[in-house]
Amino acid sequence: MEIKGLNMLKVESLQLAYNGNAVVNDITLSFGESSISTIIGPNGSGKSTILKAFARLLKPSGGLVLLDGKDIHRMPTKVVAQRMALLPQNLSIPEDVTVKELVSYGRMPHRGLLLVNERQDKEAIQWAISLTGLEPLAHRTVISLSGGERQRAWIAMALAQKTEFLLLDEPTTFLDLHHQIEILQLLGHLNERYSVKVIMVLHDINHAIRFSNRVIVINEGMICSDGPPEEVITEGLLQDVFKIKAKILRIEESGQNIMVFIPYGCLNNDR
Amino acid sequence: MLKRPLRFNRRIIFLISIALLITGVIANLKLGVVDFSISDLKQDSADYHIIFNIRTPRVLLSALVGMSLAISGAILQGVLRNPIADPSIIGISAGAGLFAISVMILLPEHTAYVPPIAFVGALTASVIVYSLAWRGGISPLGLVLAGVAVGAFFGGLMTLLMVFHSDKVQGVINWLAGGLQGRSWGHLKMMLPYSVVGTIIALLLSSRVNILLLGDDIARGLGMRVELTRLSLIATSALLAASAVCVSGLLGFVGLIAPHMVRLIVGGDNRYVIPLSGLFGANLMVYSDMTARVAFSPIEVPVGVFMALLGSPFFLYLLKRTMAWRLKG
Repeated sequence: MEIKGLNMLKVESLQLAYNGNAVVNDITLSFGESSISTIIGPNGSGKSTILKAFARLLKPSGGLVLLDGKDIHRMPTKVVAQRMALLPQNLSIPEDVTVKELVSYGRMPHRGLLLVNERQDKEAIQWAISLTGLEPLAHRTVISLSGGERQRAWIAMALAQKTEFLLLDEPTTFLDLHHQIEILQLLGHLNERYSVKVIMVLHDINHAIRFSNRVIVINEGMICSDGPPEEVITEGLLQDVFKIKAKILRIEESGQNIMVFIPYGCLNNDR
Repeated sequence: MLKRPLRFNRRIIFLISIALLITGVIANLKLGVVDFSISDLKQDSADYHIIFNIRTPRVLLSALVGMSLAISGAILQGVLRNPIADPSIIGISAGAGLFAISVMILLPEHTAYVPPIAFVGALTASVIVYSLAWRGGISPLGLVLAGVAVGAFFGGLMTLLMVFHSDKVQGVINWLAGGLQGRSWGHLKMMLPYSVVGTIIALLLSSRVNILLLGDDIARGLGMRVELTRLSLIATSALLAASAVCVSGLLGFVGLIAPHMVRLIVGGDNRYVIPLSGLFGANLMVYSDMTARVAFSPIEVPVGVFMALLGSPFFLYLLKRTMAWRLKG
């Protein structure tokens, strides 16, 4: 996948509201380099809302979302879809859609009402299916797959879109540990090998530390901290934002220095 | 968990339904109260008149009406994410009917305007039902209730109109019964453009119905203008339903039966469901109308009655199945 010049996703003094209630206040962020950025935060902090705004599913009540310096809401939505793929959290699918059919839907932003580039579509679909290891399951219905396989199929659909940005809202929810790590490693591979810029929301802070280059901590609709995981995740932050008592450890394993945190208690809300 | 639908080769199903349709059309020309043999056929004879001015337009109309109603139903079921959506059940046909009958009674000299005005009626009804029942998807019960209410309202206005203009009702009685008795080339000419335009738009948009079924967020992420697409599809469905209602009156259930038969045979991919529903609907109408004409010969049963007897049990079965499924889900 080629990388075109200065490809930036930026938000400037973003404000978001649900039914007139402010959820997010004045957030400014930019995503330029090819990296994996993870947004974390407690429940109700506004992290999923922010991701939705990045993906133009939500109109900001103030501020701007910019893609290449252009207001994302003024760009044709199809053009945006050629640059940015999105995997929301609650996914549903008709019972008889096969993996291959689902992946082929990812080509929609590259198709006109009548014009279809058959060869390019086929290549992209094949690429996405093989990258996610779904070849043996390509003709099965998505509903008949296990949770991890199903999630891979959805990711393959997003990959078939051939975008440089990939946005995911809690892609590991409802999966067992093995499949959680499998999905995160797949995203890591996509980033390393194909320079896909991954922006995701995760619940598990240890996963965020382990699999991202950048962690953005959101609390009460504002950015608390933003930077490499080793710098961002501190015992103090876990206490202040997540209201947990935790110990941060560094372990040496297979030549890698891995940072983990062990929660051992809960702070009582002093209300 | 519902059983996985059978998947026959779609091309073969296409060919079979086209062959069946051609056979049905020919059989319709041949069969009837008046029998004849092709070799005896002479221009200007009574038989010639029966075949070319009575049976030919009628069989072509029945195919066109069946196709339009079936595609209309197939689109609605996809867009509303609801297996029991059908223009006659959710009040769209009643909306088209009221507007059509208003023209027929109040402006009998302007029959050319019947289809576009019926389209406005169909669109009005569908927008009302849609806004009453839509909650990010439409529950079967909500849809039926909204449809019954809207249908009853338009039906009431229709009755009112007929009471006040009882002297002119004679002309529309035939139409009201829901059938194709006495339809002519003029009706075909009136309906054809709307039907053809609606069908072409439906075929062009059929792949988008698949995307809509994945949910609004996914569809938006894939660069679809969701509200615009949904509105265009509903308008197309209303156009097709209206074009059929203008000719055949309030004919129910075609839009329910045909798409479900198609889904059972080829699965749910709308790129195939929508065109095949058209073919199945045409077949359904052509053979039903033939049966209605011939079965109790010389008495002719309106095909609408026939369709209601066939369709209501099917509708109840679908309603029971989808409601049970919703409760479990």
